[in-house]
Amino acid sequence: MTIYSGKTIQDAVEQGLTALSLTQDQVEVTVIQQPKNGFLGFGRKLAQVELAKKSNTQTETITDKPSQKPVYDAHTDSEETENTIDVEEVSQKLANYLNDVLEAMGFSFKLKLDLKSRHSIYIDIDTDQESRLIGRHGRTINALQNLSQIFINRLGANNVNVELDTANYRSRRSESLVQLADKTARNAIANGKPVYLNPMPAFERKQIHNALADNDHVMTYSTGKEPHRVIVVAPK
Amino acid sequence: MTSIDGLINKIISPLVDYPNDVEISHNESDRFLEYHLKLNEDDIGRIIGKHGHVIQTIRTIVYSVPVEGQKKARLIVDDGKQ
Repeated sequence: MTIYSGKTIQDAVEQGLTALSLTQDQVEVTVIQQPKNGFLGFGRKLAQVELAKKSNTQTETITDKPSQKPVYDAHTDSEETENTIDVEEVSQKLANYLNDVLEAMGFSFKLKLDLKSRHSIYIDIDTDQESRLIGRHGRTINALQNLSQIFINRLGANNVNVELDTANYRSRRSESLVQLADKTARNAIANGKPVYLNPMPAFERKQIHNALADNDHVMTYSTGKEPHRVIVVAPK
Repeated sequence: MTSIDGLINKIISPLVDYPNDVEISHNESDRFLEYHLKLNEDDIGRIIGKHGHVIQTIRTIVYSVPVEGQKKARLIVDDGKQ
């Protein structure tokens, strides 16, 4: 058992691993000290980890997981280094999958991948048949988005969200949702009765809830079962 | 015909454990072009999904592709329960 230090925990572990010439699967990592950046270089502390070789060498059980993960943040803590899913890899597989599906649907298109964070993937589909891609009331693009979500959940990335977009559809839609929210709120107040909106997917309902969250005169809630769940805007 | 088959295959194969067991057969009724999907028993539940959400999503995508002629496409999972 030896102690190794480095700027981040990942660094420290890697140093130890090269010194011992082992892979990450073969050792038990104990974090002794979390790294601190300090203030203007004062009080900076290096990360210290202790590596112990595992007694049982059943490495083949975890060989399908990548042992080296890219460091996303200098403040990577021990919990994050244990994260098993690589978002970049998942998004690449998703892009290939979408490529196949969209091609089979007869689109000519270009995909643009954007990893907004470690928990969300944004994909812009550039095509000249955007109305067919979006479908009536966004049905087709939402179904494709659902399918993408199902696909990456199948890969084991449970806490990653996917958003599909084409020709700024999502931002245009969110503008009109805010307008709809305002109009409905005025209607509800004027008539003194709750107003039921049309069925919407969860992420669109959320935008309406958010838009009316700090409105003092109405309250919003959802009723019904998916996929017919609707928002109700009611005067307080 | 083949293009819809290809699409269904492209969508479903990566989602199942036994892609080789996926079979698509056709049946033309007087109103619909029926695509019957045969899957490995272990995969049926996965492709249907909770409350049928997954198969409903797949249907939406498949039906969005224009087909020639008057008849509409129908995607049916053969789970041996009808």
